[in-house]
Amino acid sequence: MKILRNLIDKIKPNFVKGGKLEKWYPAFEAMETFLFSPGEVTTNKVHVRDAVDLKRTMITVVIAMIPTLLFGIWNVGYQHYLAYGMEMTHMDYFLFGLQKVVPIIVVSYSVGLGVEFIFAVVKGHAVSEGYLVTGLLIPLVLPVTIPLWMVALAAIFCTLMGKEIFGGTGMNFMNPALLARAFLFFAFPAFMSGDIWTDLSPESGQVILDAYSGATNLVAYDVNYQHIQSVSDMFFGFEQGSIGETSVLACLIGAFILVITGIGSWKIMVSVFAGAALMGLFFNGIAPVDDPTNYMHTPFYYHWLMGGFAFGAVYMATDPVTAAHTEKGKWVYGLLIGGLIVIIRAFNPAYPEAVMMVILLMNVHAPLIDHIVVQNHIKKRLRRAAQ
Amino acid sequence: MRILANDKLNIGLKYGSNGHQGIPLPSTFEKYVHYVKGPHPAGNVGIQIHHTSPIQKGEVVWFVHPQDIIIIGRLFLEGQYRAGRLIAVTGEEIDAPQYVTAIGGQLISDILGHSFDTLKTRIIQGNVLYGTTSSSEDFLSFYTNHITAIPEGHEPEFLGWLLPGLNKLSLSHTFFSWLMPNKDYSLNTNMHGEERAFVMSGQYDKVLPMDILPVYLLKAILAKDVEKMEALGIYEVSEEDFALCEFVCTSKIDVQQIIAEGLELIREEG
Repeated sequence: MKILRNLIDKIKPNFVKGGKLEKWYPAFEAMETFLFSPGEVTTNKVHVRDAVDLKRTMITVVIAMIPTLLFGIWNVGYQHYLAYGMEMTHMDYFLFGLQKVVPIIVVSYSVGLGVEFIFAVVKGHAVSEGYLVTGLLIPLVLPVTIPLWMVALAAIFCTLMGKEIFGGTGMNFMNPALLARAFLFFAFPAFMSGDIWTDLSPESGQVILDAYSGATNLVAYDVNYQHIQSVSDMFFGFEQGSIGETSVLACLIGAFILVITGIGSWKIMVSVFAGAALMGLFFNGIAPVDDPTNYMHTPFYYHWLMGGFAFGAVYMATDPVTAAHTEKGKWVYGLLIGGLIVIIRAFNPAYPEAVMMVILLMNVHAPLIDHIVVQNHIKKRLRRAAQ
Repeated sequence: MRILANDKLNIGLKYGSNGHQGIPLPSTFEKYVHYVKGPHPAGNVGIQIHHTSPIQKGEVVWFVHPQDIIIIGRLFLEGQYRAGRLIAVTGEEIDAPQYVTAIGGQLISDILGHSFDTLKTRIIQGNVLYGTTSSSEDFLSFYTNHITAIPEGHEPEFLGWLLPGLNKLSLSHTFFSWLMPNKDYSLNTNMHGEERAFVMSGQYDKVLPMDILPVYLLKAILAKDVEKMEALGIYEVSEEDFALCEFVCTSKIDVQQIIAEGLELIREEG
């Protein structure tokens, strides 16, 4: 460590003000603080600080995503061999998935962080840690068959248009990773829907089973909600879908990590699930009795298990920057997300994966919710003052 | 005090272990007393004012520290002005933490017994959450009841943000130290990170026992929106009350500094 520290101290003068490479200071600083937590001390009247910082916060979120990532890698292999009807070991599933998923992660991180570094150097501000999370979220919400250049394009788009033009992490109003997905969804729809969820790279001497269908549960749901996979398959995640979103169980493990560390808002998670349940139950109540296949009959917990609901509720809706900031606002924000997802699934089953668009929509409306909460607070204060 | 305060007197006392009768007081004073309980910052003057009778625009609240009451009392009872006060001397760098009697203006190194290297030790007049950086050669301020000496934290730490962190004090549960609730920590003056844009929401609310929306108040101050500051309760807050907000802040924002600027602005324009 000492050698490393000495090396950094030796090259540091080149980067500080007046040095030869002064312009590159943000990049140098990002590297330095990555290796060593800085020795800066307090200067105000508060002399001690909590040990947590944004780096620690972001790495905690990354750790919370690991269960979905590991399961996703396994499931990519599982779905692949399932399509060919080949019985393989768990290790084979995992290794196949690893081959396919790692390149996507590498591209996402290197391109996105590249944009962040360039921006930091040009604008002369520090490299923020937000992309540590975004860089892993992007692969997890994409189909495994996505071409790598599209991943790169999405990473550039979301970093530039989703974050940097507003001033970087903390200033953005839409979740960058979801924005990346929405960008690909509208720019390259052929690569984001249809028979793209399972990697069908040829296996020598094998043909794809006739029984194989590239349809996810959401497509099956569109035809008849009763014909989707079993509840346990959807809960554990043995289904097709984006890389990291299929397993509700993995999402719940992540949710546990986020809640227990205090990083993710349990209020938002609970209210998203509650919003979907309430709306689902409401529809059950008003569903036409003579039409048993009507989408309103869908049991409410199906909504929790289908598609990216759990992943969205746990990792996307809770993004502290783009969610509602007030504590009361968080309840409203979550309930609306959960409720709206179910409304769209019931009335527009041709587009049942509403999670992405609903969260982005509510990202845009979160400041409005907060505004109402703040105005109510001010009114309450005025009433008290008048007494 | 009753005469000085025109009978609008409030006395804040610690909620005693023996019910309300923790501290004996003449019965004529009972009607002025408010009992306070709970963890810091429940004892702060600002928090007590907020919960007894919140300050409105144009109002002035004076407060007197109990030690000054004693000094004033002595003056009237004995005709003597004795400025000696009890000072708590605490902190990791102090060999024997204790109370000492000292007089405002006394040399700090006299009180502490010897001088300290300011590069290694931070001497604070006040406590770690609200105090002024001082030195052994400095003099005891009129308002100081507490001297703290803690180590400075100039040492960079290798991968400090990544390690399990068994020795890290944090209100978040992101370090494994939270599993050991009764652990003693060695605190130094390190920032434990760099300043960032505001990211985590709801952090300040947890440590500010007031009916105030801290982040929105801070934003109003940064935007120099005087009207909004008033609407959000700038008159009720003081720097000291936001100490814990600054302590917990993930983005390492100088919360107290912003509040101080807001109060200054309101003094000029309000």
